[in-house]
Amino acid sequence: MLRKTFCTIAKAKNLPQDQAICIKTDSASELQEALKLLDSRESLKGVQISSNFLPSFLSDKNCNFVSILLKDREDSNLILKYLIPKNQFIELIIPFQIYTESLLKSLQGVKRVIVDFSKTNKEQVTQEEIKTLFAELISNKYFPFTLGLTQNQVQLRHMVEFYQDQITTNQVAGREQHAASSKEFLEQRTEGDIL
Amino acid sequence: MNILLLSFNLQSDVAPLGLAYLKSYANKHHPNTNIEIKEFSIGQRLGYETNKNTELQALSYIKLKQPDLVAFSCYIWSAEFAFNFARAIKQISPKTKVCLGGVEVDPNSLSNDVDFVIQGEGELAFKELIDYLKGQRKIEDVHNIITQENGKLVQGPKSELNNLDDLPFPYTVIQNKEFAVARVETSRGCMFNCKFCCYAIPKLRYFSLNYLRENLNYLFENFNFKYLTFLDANFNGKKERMFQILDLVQENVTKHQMKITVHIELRPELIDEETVKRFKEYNFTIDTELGLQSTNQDVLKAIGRPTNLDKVKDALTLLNNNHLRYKIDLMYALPQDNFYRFLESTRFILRHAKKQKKIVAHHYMQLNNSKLQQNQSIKRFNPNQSSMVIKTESQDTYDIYLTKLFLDQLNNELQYY
Repeated sequence: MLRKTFCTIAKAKNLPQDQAICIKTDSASELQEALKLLDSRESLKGVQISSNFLPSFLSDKNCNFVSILLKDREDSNLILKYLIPKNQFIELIIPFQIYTESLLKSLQGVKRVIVDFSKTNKEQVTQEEIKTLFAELISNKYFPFTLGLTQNQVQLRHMVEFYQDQITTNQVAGREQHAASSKEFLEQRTEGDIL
Repeated sequence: MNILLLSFNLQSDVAPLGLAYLKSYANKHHPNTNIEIKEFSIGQRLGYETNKNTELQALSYIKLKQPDLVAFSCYIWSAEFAFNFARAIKQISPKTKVCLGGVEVDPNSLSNDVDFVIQGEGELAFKELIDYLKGQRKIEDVHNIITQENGKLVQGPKSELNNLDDLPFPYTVIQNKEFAVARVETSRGCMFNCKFCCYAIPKLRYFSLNYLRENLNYLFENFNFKYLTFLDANFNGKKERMFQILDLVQENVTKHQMKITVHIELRPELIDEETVKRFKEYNFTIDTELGLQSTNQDVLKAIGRPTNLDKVKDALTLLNNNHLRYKIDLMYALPQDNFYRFLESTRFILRHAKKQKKIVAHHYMQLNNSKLQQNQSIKRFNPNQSSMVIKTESQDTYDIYLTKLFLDQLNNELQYY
């Protein structure tokens, strides 16, 4: 997972043209505004949008990265349109409550799947459930990425937060299997690095 | 006497260099012995091909030709295939002798289906094996041979060629004159001693420049090809010599008005300003391949490959600034490596190999006859043959697969940056 700046439309206007960004949008109109802004940019030009606001078509000319927050399993039909090969990286964030393996199978062509636990009662998520989830993800050729779990539940490498500057060296738990290596990885990261 | 040198290749458009060396050297000493090179391609073969058409094709060929000896090389991609094929030969033609050579073989390769094994350099051994089969030499005097006689293991004396110029140029016996890739050795052995590799086992020797001049002229005069690959592990180990060889290529490219790409493997720390300046002046494209494997010092120590990372950075800067083409490789599943260390190595490439659009990383395949084969904590997919590593003291199978998945996804995303 490469580093990018997740931002609002307002913030995006002030970011350097060659910085990899993903604009978070909350409505169809915001999405249109974001697309206009992205058109002239270089590097990664991304938008994040809820599946219920997805338009029927998103040109790969002004947007080469689409991060879709799945709201409802039914919306997967809409997403299928995005999987027709074009010059776009499609990331899908699936809330754990609506995740099923059949959803993964029906959406093959999505480049990255992130399972979101942020609206789940973390204490109730068992190791067995995580193990089953990860087994399903890897057997469908997806690296297991999660959002909203803790280091007590999964290793750092599975946490999206680890790749996006939301975990500092001091926060690396001692129980992490390769704690020294992961700390070193974070310590050596500099401003311009995309990993 | 009829001898069939058999090759199971992955790419049919690459000249069969190894077998051509065997044939040309043996024919120099046994000009009246009929030695044929025959290739079958297994590159397009699908894992679920149950009717085994390639095997049937090759076995039928043997049945028709009835050679006295079938010899073939075992590489990592063909070893299992070769062992199975040896068994099949004995079933359809029990009197045909079978000889296996190549980097994959060792004394354990000998079986009821395999009469002779040649371990180490093959040219002298193969010629002497023909001496033996003609009754001109005792088997125990055949260099590098392993066989059984009267139920006893016989191992001939070890040897390697001291003067590489004794070898006839292999292209003189290759019939097909069109290849996508022509491959040439200018030396054998390696000045380094990486523990994952076995190329440094024979001592480092060089073909003379006179030999190379004469034979590169022959190659350009008689063959059509688009890529010329020098197989040397560190083509820039001797800088002046490298320029002299590339000058020979330039003379031929000019003379024959050819448009070719030369592919070479360089040790990155040895790349300097003079190197990039000279590379830019040549009238052909140069593709360089640089082996890095890892940037972690513990990993580099474990694989016996000390690397000066500052010099590697300088080399990459030189290549970037001069718009020269290169590919720099990593390896995953190495001893002492782990997911985060591999990410650091990846970050090094992303930071400094600015012209490279993807991370090239190979799954570490543990090779027979390499020093790391002695490391008991490394487990490989097939314990008996060179194959991918599935466990080390620092990573288990799942860790290794995660690295692979992460890498695939990262390369996918990288296209959009």
